Amino acid sequence: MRIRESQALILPPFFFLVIFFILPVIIILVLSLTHNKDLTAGITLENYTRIFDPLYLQVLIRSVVYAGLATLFALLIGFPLAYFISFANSRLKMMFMFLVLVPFWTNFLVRIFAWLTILGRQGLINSFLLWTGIIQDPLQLLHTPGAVILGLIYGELPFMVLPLIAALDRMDVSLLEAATDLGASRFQAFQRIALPLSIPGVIAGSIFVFIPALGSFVVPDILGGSDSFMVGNTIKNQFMTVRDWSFGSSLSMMLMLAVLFGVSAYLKKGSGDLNMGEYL
Amino acid sequence: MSDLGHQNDLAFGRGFTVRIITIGGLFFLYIPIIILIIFSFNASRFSSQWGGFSLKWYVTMIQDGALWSAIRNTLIIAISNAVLSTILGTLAALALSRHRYRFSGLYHKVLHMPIIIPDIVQAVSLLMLFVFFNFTLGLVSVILAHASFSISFVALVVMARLAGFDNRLEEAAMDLGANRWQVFQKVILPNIFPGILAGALLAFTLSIDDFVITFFTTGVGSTTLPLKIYSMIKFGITPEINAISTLLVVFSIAAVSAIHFFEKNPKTGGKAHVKNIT
Amino acid sequence: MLKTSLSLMLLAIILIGCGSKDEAVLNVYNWSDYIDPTVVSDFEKEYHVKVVYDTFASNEELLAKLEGGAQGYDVIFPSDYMVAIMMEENLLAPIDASQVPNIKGIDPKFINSPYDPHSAFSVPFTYGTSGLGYNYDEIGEELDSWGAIWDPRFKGRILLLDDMREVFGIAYKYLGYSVNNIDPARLEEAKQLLMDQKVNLLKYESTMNKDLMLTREALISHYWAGDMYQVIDEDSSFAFTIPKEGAVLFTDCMAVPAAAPHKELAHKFINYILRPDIAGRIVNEVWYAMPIPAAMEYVDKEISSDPNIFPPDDVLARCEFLTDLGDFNQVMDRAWTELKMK
Repeated sequence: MRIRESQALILPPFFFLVIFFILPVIIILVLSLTHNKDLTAGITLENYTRIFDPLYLQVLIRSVVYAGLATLFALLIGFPLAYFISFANSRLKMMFMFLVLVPFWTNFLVRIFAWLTILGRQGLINSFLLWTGIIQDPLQLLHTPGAVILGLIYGELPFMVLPLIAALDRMDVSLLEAATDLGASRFQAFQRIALPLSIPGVIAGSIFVFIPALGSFVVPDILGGSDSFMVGNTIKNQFMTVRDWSFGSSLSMMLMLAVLFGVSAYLKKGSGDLNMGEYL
Repeated sequence: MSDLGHQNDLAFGRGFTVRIITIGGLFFLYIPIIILIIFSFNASRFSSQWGGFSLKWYVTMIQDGALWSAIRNTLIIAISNAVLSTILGTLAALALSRHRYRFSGLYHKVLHMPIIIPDIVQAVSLLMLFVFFNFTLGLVSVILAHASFSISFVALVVMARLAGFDNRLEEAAMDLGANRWQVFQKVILPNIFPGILAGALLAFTLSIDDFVITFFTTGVGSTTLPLKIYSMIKFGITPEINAISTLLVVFSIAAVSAIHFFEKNPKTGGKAHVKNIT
Repeated sequence: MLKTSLSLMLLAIILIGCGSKDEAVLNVYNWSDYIDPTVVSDFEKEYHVKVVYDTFASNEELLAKLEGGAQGYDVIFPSDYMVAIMMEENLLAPIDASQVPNIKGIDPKFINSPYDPHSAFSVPFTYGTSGLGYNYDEIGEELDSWGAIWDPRFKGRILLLDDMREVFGIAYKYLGYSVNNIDPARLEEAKQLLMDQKVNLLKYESTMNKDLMLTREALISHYWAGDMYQVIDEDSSFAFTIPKEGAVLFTDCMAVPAAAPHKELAHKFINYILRPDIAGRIVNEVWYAMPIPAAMEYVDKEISSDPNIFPPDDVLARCEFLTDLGDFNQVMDRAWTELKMK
């Protein structure tokens, strides 16, 4: 009876995941090994050798750098924010969590478009600087790599803050108190105790920010200029414009493998076992 | 969110730097939102010039039939996805938390994968799946696509909740003569219900906001709000888009306040509460 | 929980059910901003049908959707070269001219065009050229040459269409070659020219051009005539020119996908669009020319007399249709990728 129940539980969800997650991945794996989606022509590695064309490597490196910088800045902004919130009393805390989340109930695209109004030649920043006379001509803020990174940070910041709060909440405050009782300054207590204990949250948050940032194509599309093409744009182009499904598939496989490899290495280096559900 | 705020007599997290960055961070988060709300009342249609106060964009929005059908599609997809992925995700969580399988480790890995794989990769692979099986793109394909990533989020949230479940409660109920279904219904379910609710909300939110996966798997008559907004920007970010977003914010705040109120209401389930709605 | 989820599911099913009532439905898939919306609602009233109207942003997106199994569309609006590709891939149903009597009203110049030699699978909808849209007030002079996009005065303020064929088309025209040439040496020459242009380029963009011009981000945009006139209609600081070197000429067509579920209704819709009074209304709204002489009396004078919208024969002679490049597509794509990624 127990066996039957266990199988009744596991079969429906995993049957679904096999069809709608594993099978699609297998399909693009197969496609990536064909010449221009011709299944009868046999297996080829040409789509993978193409990736190592300096042209595509350059885009891949650029994507990693942008996503990495976005993650770093999200951590630098997100950590103090989370630290502040996790030490607030429970009513205030509820309010602050709410404040962090509200912007994310507007549509993702709208959130990004709003930055056009801020960064544009006639946007808020330029209008202000022109009005004060600090500058004579509008600065080019929009359509720059900086704008893309800013958009990535803005788009993913809550996914950094929430896991950090979850991790800090689990910390035993008496440890901090004990440290201060023993003569440590607040900063030392933070550095020696709070920081190490928050590592799982840092790891989870970084993963939640880095991955979507790495695959992003909408942000560079909207905020980027002529030199902000990322790997997500390349993949989208292969499917929607060039119609080279095979090459698009090989790029997708590479991106996926890079992420899986990176994440598992990162997790091993960090705390090993991480139940991400606790940080969602 | 944790029930217990930290005791904080020593003012941890109240240093000058922390305060400044916190204020700065919130400022950063809110500038675009505030601007968006202000400009939804802009009489001029240009996103960067103030032409006086006007409610006309709200009127335009209400009369925009295509917009409402996009909203309807979005809700159909989000609700169906929430139901489907909550059921399947909860099953997966129950299975993996309560039973040992020969390939438990593998199941766990599979369950985590949709969360860490970039959505562009999932989007194109799902498109290829539908192409291969000649599956008609439309509402159904979008719902299935959304469920394929939402299940994992639901399962992980519910599993986190199950991790805190005291197995002795179950044993006690069995000792008192309850059968397995009764145990599930009367003991396990009420305990993990907050997790399930949080998972369902998470699935709903992910679905409503999704652009990339929808963009690739949508078909006839299944344009969602994000896709509609994307197509509207061709002629510029009109204040109509700002008006839609303002309403979205207001609606979300109202919904969350309602849920919050509903949780606090003792009649409806004691201290059940939503854990970390992302 | 079970009850709640069951009732939610029921609700969802009811909601989905609402969409599939027995009323006749026509699914139209068109470019955005490319029809007078009242024409659609009038068609609905006249034929007692419901039109589901979706939009796309590029020919390739349309093709990807059709190939990707989006089987419900009844009327689609591919451009000339895309009609040829779709015919080759057997994605289109033949047009039954007997069901579209208004075809007779189409200017014969636009019948049996190279992309669809027997006009068997497509009906021309609009035609026009790409060209230079620019902010006349800020630049202070009229532009008449593609050379402007290399002018250092406009550094960082120029948009080029995010479209491989259109962008190489500029370079080819500027160099005096055909937009359809498949000589690798000339491609290389064009690529170098465009590479030099990148210092001036704001970005390759095909969707947000209007907003980027209206908010003064861009001074100059390589753009399609009709869309540019929609900008000029908003803000008279702008102007449009078909450069003297010539430009890419296009015909956007109406076609019926092979898998269309409502073919008969689709023919009725196409016929309706070709009705002179309806065509006139569309031209007035979208600022693109339609090849229907009898419609001219319904078109506003300022539009029908504008040589950029209805180019005279000598201008048309300098312009060229795009043809399918076959295997050379991949070679050009490599160069295009280099341009975009650098």
